[in-house]
Amino acid sequence: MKTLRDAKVGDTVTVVKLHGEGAVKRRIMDMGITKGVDIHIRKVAPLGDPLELNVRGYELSLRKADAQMIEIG
Amino acid sequence: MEIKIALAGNPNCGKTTLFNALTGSNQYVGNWPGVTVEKKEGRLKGHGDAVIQDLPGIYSLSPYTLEEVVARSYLVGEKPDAILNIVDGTNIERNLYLTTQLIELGLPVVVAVNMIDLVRKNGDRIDLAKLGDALGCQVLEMSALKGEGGMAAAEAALALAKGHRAGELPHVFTGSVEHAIAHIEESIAGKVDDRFLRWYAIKVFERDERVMEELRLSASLKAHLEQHIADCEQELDDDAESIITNQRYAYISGVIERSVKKKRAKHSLSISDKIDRVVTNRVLALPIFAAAMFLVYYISISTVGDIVTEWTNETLFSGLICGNLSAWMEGIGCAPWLVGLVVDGIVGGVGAVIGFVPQMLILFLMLSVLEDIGYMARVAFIMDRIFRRFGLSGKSFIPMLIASGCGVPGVMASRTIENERDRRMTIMTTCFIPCGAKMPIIGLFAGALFGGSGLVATSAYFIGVAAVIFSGIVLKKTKMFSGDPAPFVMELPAYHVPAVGNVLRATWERGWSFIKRAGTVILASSVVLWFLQSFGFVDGVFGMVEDNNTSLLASIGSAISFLFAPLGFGSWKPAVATFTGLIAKENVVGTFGVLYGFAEVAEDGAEIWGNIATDFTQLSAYSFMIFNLLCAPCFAAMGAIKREMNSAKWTFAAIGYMCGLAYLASLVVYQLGLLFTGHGFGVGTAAAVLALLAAVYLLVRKNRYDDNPLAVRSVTAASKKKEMIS
Amino acid sequence: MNGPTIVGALIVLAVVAAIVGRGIWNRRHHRGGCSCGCGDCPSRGLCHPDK
Repeated sequence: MKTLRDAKVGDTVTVVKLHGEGAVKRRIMDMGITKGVDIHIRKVAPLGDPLELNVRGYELSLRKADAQMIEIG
Repeated sequence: MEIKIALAGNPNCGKTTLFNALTGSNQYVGNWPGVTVEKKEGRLKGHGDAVIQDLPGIYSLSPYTLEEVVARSYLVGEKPDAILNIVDGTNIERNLYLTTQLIELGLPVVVAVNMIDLVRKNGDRIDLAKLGDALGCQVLEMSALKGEGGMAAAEAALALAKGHRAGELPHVFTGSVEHAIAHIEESIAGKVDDRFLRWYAIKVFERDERVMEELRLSASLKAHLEQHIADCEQELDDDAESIITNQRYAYISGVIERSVKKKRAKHSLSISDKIDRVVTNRVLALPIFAAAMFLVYYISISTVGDIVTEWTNETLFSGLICGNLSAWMEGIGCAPWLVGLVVDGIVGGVGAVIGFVPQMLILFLMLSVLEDIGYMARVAFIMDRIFRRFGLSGKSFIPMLIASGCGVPGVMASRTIENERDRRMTIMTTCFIPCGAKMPIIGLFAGALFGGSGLVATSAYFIGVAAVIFSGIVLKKTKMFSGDPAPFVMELPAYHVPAVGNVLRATWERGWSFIKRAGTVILASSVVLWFLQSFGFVDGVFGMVEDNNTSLLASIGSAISFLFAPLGFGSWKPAVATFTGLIAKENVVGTFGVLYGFAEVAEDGAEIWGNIATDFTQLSAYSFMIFNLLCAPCFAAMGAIKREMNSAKWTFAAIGYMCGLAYLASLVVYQLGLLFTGHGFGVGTAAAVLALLAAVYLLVRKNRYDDNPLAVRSVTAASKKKEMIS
Repeated sequence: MNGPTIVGALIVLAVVAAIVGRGIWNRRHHRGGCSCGCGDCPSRGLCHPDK
């Protein structure tokens, strides 16, 4: 199963499902990452983490560990 | 009857700029999330009966963060007469997510699409009428920065409030979800205000903890509703919260498609993104950050600041003020001791500090500019990896950046960190960052012993950061602070040209506060100090002394100064100065001003710098500087720490930790410095080496608390966990 | 101790007393704890509850 963590910089992927639970998952969804949305991986931070994503027209910063909760297809 | 209008919207949507424009109050606008946690109120200009309540910037009305809880408690508890929802037009999809939730509250809502000037510049088009139809409320456009449309939006909200009419609720949810919610509405009708029925029903569906607690439904009713919810979850193969969120966004996508036309292709680079290609570039980001901070400190302390400070100290104070003042006082017949008190004591002490005001103003100005353009969020983004190493997040960096102005708001800014353990750790380390009041200390020594070098100032800043990082790594490995890393989900708002008004206002506010402190606290301290250093026992007789080394203060100071001997500054003057620093860090410089005879500059022309240079070597000066930078902060900051920690034990722990680390750091620097400059190996050196070894050990030892098998670290672990439980 | 000296001394005393007194009054009314200008303070509400 592929997750957002496996995506490469420059890819545009579609979210299939969100795993995990609780406040972090809710926060990720509140910020617009929901089933079926397109995410473009803009870049990785200079120290290797977190990721910068373009989602629903704005830039979002997300850690790779949290990106792992997002299954993509 | 007073009309209450709530101002709600996402962080960075321009809400606070609008609030200032509508109410005329002087509030500073910060550009990253978490600046406004407290609610702010103001009267609407020109409408004496209307009050505007600025709510914290929030993304949603979930129960998970303090800001959201504060906002929804207000909306549901205080029941404002209308909500003015500010939406960032350049980011409309995510902004509307909150809008749907606000509308569900059943209160009258007016939506104002802000930054419409940027929307037009991008070539995008928003059909306000269609948007309004879809949402069931009035939608206006505005540009808070340009001052257009803000008042119109407020007046529209006012009209709605007076008319007591809420809009028609849009049909956001579909199928079985809508069915379940309707069912819940029936079940809880009568338990809540009619207007809020829908919102509460949706919250029940989401199993919102706080709402469930508030409603106190009977066990049987809960079970009954639970059945409906579980059925939906089964059908849609997802949990209730996710279902609601998904459907909301699906609805919004539809609305956007009908009413918004974007010019640029999806995911294409905006101007901000293009700038970020350099600023958060893999290779360039950290050097750019280091260069930026160096520039800030270099310009404010070493170049422009230095010149203006020298002029202030020499021309203004020594020449004009001291010279003329003492001549005048003597002329009208004042006794010499009074002349001494006023000229050497008050003017000496206060003047030494005021001399730094130009540097402070420039420093504050540059920091304000950095904040205003949006650079700070990038810094949190870049630094997150480092902070994650000790269980914090890049968000802990924000209090520290604020602390470079003043430690008190820095400590308070840690409030936005939800995790208690993280918050405590952030509070304990925030004051290591040199605050504005510590700048004069740096400036004084940089000037007196290091030829005004910019490196001294920059190194001070980096030592503060190093202390934070060191503390983070070491503390994370202790039982009290170990645990999973805090989450980090943060928006990177677009850059924008600094708003001159905001920047100047912020700079002036901070600068004026600095000056006020000089005129009060430091003035009083200087008077007391002057007396203590002018009087003493000479040959058993109490009276005025010529040489302050024989004064009362010197006796007191010498009694404790031995503590500082291993650090290189074991004489009474630095010891006394350090203690006066507890009242206000600027006092250290003020005290030196009094003790080293600042006013004598007028007579013999030697600079105070020269006097100080005779008592310190470069090494001992640096050691003194480090100690004062890292040790316990001023009383005001200690008070803030006590308020935020909410526990005497933790407050003492924090302050004790800071003093301890300061002592050891100074010790290591001074003793090893002595060693390397050929002063041989002694007891002090041995102690320093031991301290260094202990520090290294604490840094590199294995974290005993790292393994937590039940933490959801990866998707596979999550499924394994589900198996384990079922 | 002549006239001007007494006057001068009293002035200084009055100023210091005013400063200290103001500080105590502030403490008692929970005001003005920060040293940075309260417009910037995220917790403005604590120090300025009437605004």
